Amino acid sequence: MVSARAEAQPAPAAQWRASISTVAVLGTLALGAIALLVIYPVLILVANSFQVGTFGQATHLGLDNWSTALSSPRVWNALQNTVTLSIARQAIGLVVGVLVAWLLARTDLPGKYWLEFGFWVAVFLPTLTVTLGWIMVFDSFNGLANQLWQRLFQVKGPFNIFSWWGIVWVHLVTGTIPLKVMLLTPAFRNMDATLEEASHAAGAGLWTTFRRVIVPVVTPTVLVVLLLGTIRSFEAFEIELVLGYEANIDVYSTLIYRQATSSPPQYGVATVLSILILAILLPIIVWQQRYSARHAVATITSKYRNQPRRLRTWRWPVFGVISGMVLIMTALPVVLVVLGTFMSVFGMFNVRDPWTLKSWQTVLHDVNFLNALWNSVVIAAATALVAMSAFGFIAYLIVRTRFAGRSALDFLVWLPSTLPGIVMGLGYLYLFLGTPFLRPIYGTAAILVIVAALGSITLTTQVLKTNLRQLGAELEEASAASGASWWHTLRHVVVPLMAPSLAVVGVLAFSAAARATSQVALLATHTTQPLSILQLNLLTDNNFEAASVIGVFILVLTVGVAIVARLLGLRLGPEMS
Amino acid sequence: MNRFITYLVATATFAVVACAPGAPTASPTPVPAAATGWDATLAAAKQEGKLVLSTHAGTGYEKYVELVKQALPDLTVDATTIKASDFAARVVVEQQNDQYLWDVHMGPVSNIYTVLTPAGDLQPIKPFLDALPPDNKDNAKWAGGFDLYTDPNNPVTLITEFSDVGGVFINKDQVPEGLSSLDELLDPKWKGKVAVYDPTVSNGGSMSLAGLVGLRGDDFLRKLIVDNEAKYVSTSSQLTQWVAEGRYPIGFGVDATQLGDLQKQGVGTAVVRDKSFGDYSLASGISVLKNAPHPNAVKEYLNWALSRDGQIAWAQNASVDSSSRRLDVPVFHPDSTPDYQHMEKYTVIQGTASGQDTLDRTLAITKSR
Repeated sequence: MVSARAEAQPAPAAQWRASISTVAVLGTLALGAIALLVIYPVLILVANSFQVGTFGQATHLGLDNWSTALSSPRVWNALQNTVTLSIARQAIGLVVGVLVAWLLARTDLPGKYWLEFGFWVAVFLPTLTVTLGWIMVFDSFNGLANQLWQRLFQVKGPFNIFSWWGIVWVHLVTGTIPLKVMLLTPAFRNMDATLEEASHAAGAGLWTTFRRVIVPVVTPTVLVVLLLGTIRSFEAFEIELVLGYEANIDVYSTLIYRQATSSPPQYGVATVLSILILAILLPIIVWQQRYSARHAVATITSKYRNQPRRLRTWRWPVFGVISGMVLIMTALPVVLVVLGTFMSVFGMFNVRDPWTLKSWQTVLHDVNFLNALWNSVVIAAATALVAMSAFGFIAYLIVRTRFAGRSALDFLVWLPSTLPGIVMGLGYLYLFLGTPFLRPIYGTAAILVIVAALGSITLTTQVLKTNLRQLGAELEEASAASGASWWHTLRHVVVPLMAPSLAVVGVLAFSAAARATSQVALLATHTTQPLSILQLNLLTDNNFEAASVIGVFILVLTVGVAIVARLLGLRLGPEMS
Repeated sequence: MNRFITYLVATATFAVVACAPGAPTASPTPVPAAATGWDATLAAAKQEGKLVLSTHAGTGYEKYVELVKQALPDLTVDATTIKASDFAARVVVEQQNDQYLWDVHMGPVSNIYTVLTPAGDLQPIKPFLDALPPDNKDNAKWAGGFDLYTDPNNPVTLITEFSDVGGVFINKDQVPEGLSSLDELLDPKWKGKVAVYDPTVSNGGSMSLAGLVGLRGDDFLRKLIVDNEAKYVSTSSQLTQWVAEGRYPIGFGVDATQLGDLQKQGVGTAVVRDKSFGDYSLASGISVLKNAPHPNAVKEYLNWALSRDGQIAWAQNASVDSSSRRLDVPVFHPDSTPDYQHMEKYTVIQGTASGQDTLDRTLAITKSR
């Protein structure tokens, strides 16, 4: 245990191999680029919060936006809802996510790799259409579950999706639990079984092993996942927008959305609200960083072994439970979304002609469809490559080197996710138009790649950092001692060990880029618009059926990439070697 | 016609008053001297080779864009369909950084009127119109005459269309007798039963309520919203479905197209639109952006867009409630096409100063709950 803790420090040999000047130069370039891309828009937005006046017209400095935001009782009410909803779903999601991830990674559960993949697919599903699908099931007025209840018990069913618990439920099954499983399973898989065996051999019982071995090893990763989940909770607005109004539940993100989409837009107030979220999150981020730096435990060493625990008689009952979860979180929503594309009216079965191909015809005959499909493929693939290479390098700089600016870099990568996309979109607009050397790419697909990549920088970098911290340095040291160069060690030792996480990162970035709307809406043009913007146009028409068709295309693209990435990641990953 | 002109003058007066304080007006950009004659303009447009057009988001607008491309084969039409709020934000930031990338905007005047006009990001359209051949500018061809602007003293947006939308939607299964007067809405029996599409932002819900404010004033709306606890619904789609199903018997901001689709499927057949209350009108039009990079292409586009063919392309496709002020254009959407000869009957919410003022007051009330 003691030796394992020491690995959290940068590996001296790897560092020795990577010439200091190379690290310094590349690190400074990375820091400069990230600082420009992240700090500039944030500073512009903070400055905007002090600009008083109508958007686009002459303004003066003042605190009106702040007083407007802070004096509104709706703001404090929304803050309370945001925090309580977030705590509820993170608490439930964490318990379930940890348990499922452990079962998938550390036991002999049948079909565990495909079950894990089922949770991946749940993360990629289009949120809005899945929410509409859940309304079909749990609507208090005519939802399928209530109809069934009525038929079985002859009393009105108890389910109401338009409620506080309705929001929690949809979040849990569409993102909170699947994402936790997706991120925690590789971390659990990377735990070295010899640590647990050593504990048992030393006479420790199950509880002591859990408390003294497993918890310290996984806590840094769990904290990162929890923080990422909390940030996503604060950002999320589609579910609350659709389900919350009926129950008078506003959250911060829905307030910001309404301010930014007002006519004229109230960006000043929207920015103030965003800054308040930032103020809540920043201390948590700083604390998490310090904790992770002090308590990170390397588990993948030359002695690494993943010995699955045998579930014995529990094997098939547990398989049944986890399969049921995958069915509820993935199979059922996929069926609902696909069914929706063939329905005359989304979610209504009791109409004259419920089934039609009209929505598919609408989309496939759209002259912009093929162009948008191609744009989505290019933008999402490029974003995935940027995430795997550039963010992989940034994670490496932070974890494995003594580069002077690594703490700053570590802090900066958290920032883009802490501000809502609709506000950051405006910040990026100022960034690309206000920076002369970036201006030439305004209006090109490159700008969408950069913005989409920045949209996933936090999540992807944290996944890679966590993975790197789990990798013991001794493998790199052995490579270096054998005379391998820094570049050779990176290619033949570090990258293969990181392959499963790189696969996860690539797929996450691809999925996020393919679905991005709020950040790219202000930057896309007719020639660069991806499928997500086409989908937005259909939603503007209230054409949810055709929008679901686009959702299916995005889903198929992402799942296709996920299958390839997963096969590659598993082939190159440690568990296969 | 006299009443129509009176209405226009009144609208213009309000617009001037509303835009006056502190609102920098667009600095007029000289239209590049075109060679004499329309042929020379077309030749210059061909030389420019490109038109950068923006119109509203939606599949209907995309169809319109395709027709523009077919009609102007000499030009590369770079058209972006984008929500007016996003377009306005984009243009403001671009022009703050001296980037003049757009030529023309055609669509609802919402944010064009509330954001881009006071920001001075448009240029007077009149010089461009003056350069067009006379045929499409014949006053007799346009209801109310050709020259109709959101603000006659700052003629940056030519209004080409009004749509007659809104009204109250009543499910006759729940309210067989309908509403005989607006006061009935305040009856406690409708407490919590009147649903409105999110009236805290500018949309069909808040504009319908603004229509009520126009008829009965602020206090009436306060009573409806606060005392009678009108229900806010986040999307018009959800509201439409709920009114059709009878979950809410009365709705403001229902999506008429979606309701029509539902009714074709046998759902909500008892729902009727009562235009007596909450009816309002929206304006759409054409604006030329400041320092438009392809001024002659703009003229070529304007000449087509204002022609009968151009107006048919718009009225037939752009939106489910689009129409044309041009009198020789057929009516494609009778439910939402106003009686252009009697525009004084309508409360124009979008595109006039008085309408904007009513909408602002409405939003202040709905947000205060």
